Amino acid sequence: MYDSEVQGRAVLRPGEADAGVIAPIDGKSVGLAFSVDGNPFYGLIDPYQGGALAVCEAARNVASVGAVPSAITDCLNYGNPEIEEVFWEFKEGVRGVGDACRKIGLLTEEGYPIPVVSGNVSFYNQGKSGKAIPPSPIIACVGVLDDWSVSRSIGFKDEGDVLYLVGEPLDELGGGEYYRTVLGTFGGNVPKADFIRERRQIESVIEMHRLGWIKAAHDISSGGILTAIAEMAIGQDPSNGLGFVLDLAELAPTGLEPEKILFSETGAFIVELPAGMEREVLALCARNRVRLYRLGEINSFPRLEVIDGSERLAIWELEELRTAYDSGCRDIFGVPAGR
Amino acid sequence: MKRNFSRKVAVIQFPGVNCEYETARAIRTVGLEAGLFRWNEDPAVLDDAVAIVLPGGFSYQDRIRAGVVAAKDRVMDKVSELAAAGMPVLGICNGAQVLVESGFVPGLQWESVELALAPNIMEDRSGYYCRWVYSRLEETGTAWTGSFSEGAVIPIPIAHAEGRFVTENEKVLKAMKENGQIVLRYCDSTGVVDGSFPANPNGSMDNIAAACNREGNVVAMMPHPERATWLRQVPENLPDEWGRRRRKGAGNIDLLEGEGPGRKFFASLLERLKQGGVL
Repeated sequence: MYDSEVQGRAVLRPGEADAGVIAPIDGKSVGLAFSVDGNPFYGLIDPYQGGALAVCEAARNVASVGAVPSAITDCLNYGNPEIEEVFWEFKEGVRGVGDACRKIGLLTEEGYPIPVVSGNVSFYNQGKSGKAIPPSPIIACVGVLDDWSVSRSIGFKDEGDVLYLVGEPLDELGGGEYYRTVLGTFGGNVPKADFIRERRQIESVIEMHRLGWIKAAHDISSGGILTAIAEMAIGQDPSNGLGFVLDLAELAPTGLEPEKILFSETGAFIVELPAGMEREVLALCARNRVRLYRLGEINSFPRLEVIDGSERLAIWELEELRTAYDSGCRDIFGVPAGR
Repeated sequence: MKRNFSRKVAVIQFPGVNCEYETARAIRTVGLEAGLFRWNEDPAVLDDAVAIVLPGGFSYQDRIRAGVVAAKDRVMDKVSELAAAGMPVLGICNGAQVLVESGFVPGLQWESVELALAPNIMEDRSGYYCRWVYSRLEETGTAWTGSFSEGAVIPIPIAHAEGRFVTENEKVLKAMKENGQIVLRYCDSTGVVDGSFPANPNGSMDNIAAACNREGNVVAMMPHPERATWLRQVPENLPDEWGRRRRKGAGNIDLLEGEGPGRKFFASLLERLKQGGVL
């Protein structure tokens, strides 16, 4: 834990949203958003995708609060580069970071890459056995906002608001949370960074922020759509007790099995918009050539439910989710419950 | 050139503090003037100030014990003199630690150390803790709390590792209670003073979050009012009226730059200074 309040400029703190936001200049609306991200499991399967996806996610994170991804810095962690395979992992990771920066590009300057303004490389990260750590590029992204007041926390806001999925789950669960923690395997089918798709989705979400539509936004990453929605439920004002029913029938056009829909980590966003905006949001997404799914309305029952048409697949009380979320590390590190 | 603190609140900048600029900004939001006093300037310039604030941070790197080195700094002789003469003095976080180590709070015997701000220990949690908590206003009679209503429930952030008010002398606590020297107590979002975590975040004796001297002009508070001075600083998911206000303000900078739950500490000072004819 560290001091996330010092200087008094906080607008959104770590954990409140996908990126932290500050209002750096008195009397000005300009805001800065910061995010640091990385997932070593993708790189273990494909070090190129590991680098590329880390940039995609960091860029998504700042777009989630309405900021334009404007620069990154990297922290590239690998094993012993004197070993040919490890050096190859490093090379692939750098190639992935570079491709993502060039192909997502600066939204504000057509044809310019997102600049990598600094970085650090850490080699020889290995255990006593000499086995290298998984390729672990960590990316920090800075985003710029014209107006920090549009940045919102990920938590549900009001009953009757509508959740939309901006993007689409694909059948690419390799290295993902579901395979590792539920099935106990890595798989091989790692998500493929699609820079054009990422750019269009990021542009769309930033545009929705600028239009003042977004009441909450959260990107899809580890744990997929279901985890993202759960985090949005957990992040709300606990005295509001809002819930959601996710009907897989809404996502039937993806043609995927339920667990793939729920846990696919394909880059996307979930946004909460006021009711009655279907036409506007559909038009915006069509214009930007991104997929859009209307997932349903936020209700006033403090639980999260997954159904498939008339069949209930799962249900959790909000309190149960919150406890699991807050005590995850305690369980792992062996601190007894209730502390 | 000697600086002029006439009509100004002096924010004391010890080496290692890190909240002085936003504290000065927060003071200015209520229409007061504020200036920074560097620790090695001539303390005599403080004679002209209208009030003194010791901001948060890590004065002298928290060497030996938080606040103890700054408490021995020569500027504190001047602060002691002015405080004894009735000038309003507020210590925030590290500043509170300095005031306690200086023996100004509770100041039953002026300049003798009667309290400690000990390392946080709550059940079996310990260490640095940064989060929004709730506090209940117990005393409106101080120079820094007159604009609140008695019993007001104030959401406000804390960020410290040594914030547990303790004394081994029961008479000190008893006297503080009798004299109305307990200014803020940690509570839950509904105002119930509950001794268990998370309502009491650091194990503080009697849930004390802020205390004052007998006269009420010197207040030592662990929470940070300058981090709750603007509505935009309030977390969106706070389960109270402030959280709702924050959410309603989305998209409206003027609203979000408006008053947060802690601004009244500074408004209280302005009120007090006007009443006393100082301003």
